[in-house]
Amino acid sequence: MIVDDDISAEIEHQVQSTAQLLLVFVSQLASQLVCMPGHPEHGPFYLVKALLQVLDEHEWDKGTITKAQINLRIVALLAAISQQKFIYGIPDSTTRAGRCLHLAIVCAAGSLTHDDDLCVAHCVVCSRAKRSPLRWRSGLPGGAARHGRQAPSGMPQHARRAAEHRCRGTLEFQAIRAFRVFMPPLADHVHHHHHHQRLQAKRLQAELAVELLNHTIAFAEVNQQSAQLISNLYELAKNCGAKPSTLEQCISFLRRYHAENPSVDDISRKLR
Amino acid sequence: MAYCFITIPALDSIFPRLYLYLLASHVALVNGCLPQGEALIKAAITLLRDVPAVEGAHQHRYRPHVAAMMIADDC
Repeated sequence: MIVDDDISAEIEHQVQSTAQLLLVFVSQLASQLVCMPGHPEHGPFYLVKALLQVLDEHEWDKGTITKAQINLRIVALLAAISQQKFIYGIPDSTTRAGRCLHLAIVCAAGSLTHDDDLCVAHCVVCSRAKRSPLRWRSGLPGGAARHGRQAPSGMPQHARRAAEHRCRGTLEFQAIRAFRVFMPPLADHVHHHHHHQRLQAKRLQAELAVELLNHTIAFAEVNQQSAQLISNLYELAKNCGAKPSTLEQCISFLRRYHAENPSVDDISRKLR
Repeated sequence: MAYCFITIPALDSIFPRLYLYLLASHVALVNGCLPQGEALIKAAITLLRDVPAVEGAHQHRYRPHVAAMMIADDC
């Protein structure tokens, strides 16, 4: 193959931001972390915590939304972890890995009742009101069901229910805390861009709004608050110039999978 | 695994190092070497601290691989 030396030299002297590369890598890392077992002493999410800490310390360019996008990837990771059954994982046989994974799930169940706010960060997008209780989507009860499943068989039913209730209360509280942690960076980025290069800012706003809209539709239970958030994000994305076909796909997905939900009708009415 | 763990830091470019850590941890987990897999993931997370804000364009030729296919789906 003939390569133009001048062009190669020019390419080699170029520099580019690593933010996008970091996003791709962290997405892959997050998919790997889904099946990584936890640690008996440091908790089930010690790797996720370490990752978040490193990402917080990273110096992000002011003009990018990469940090917010990475945060959304972590939200997706936590939503995946909260499922009862993973679609992939370490081969669960008589291997040591399989046993350790089981141990990690038990550890996860135990620690959810204490003070781990990461496990519930996936519902940060389901409510804008900081004081209103968040609800879990059916089939994704997260730690509560996992806790119940792993509870000793000898535990009385009422004690198990109380434990689940306590766990759920803790999760709701932690979700609200996580909501505060995750949302400011998103808001900061959007605000910052508004004052600088307007067109670029609009494009980034639209991109981020569509991504947040997708995450809300995919992971949050559709209730009154999340319906409000969805319609706001839809309007924001539309005003910033997001493709109408993309937005329509989001809403048609919502209509298809939550046909009986009255909040979806509210959204449709608002978006008319 | 030990060979990978020791030799990966010898690479210059940071992203190939990161992806190799990830690939090595896949292999470790699939083969039941949990501590090694964890150590490799930890090394990757630690290495993220050293990712610079900008990098030469010629260093980005490493592309994501299909190593994720190695993970079994029978969980």
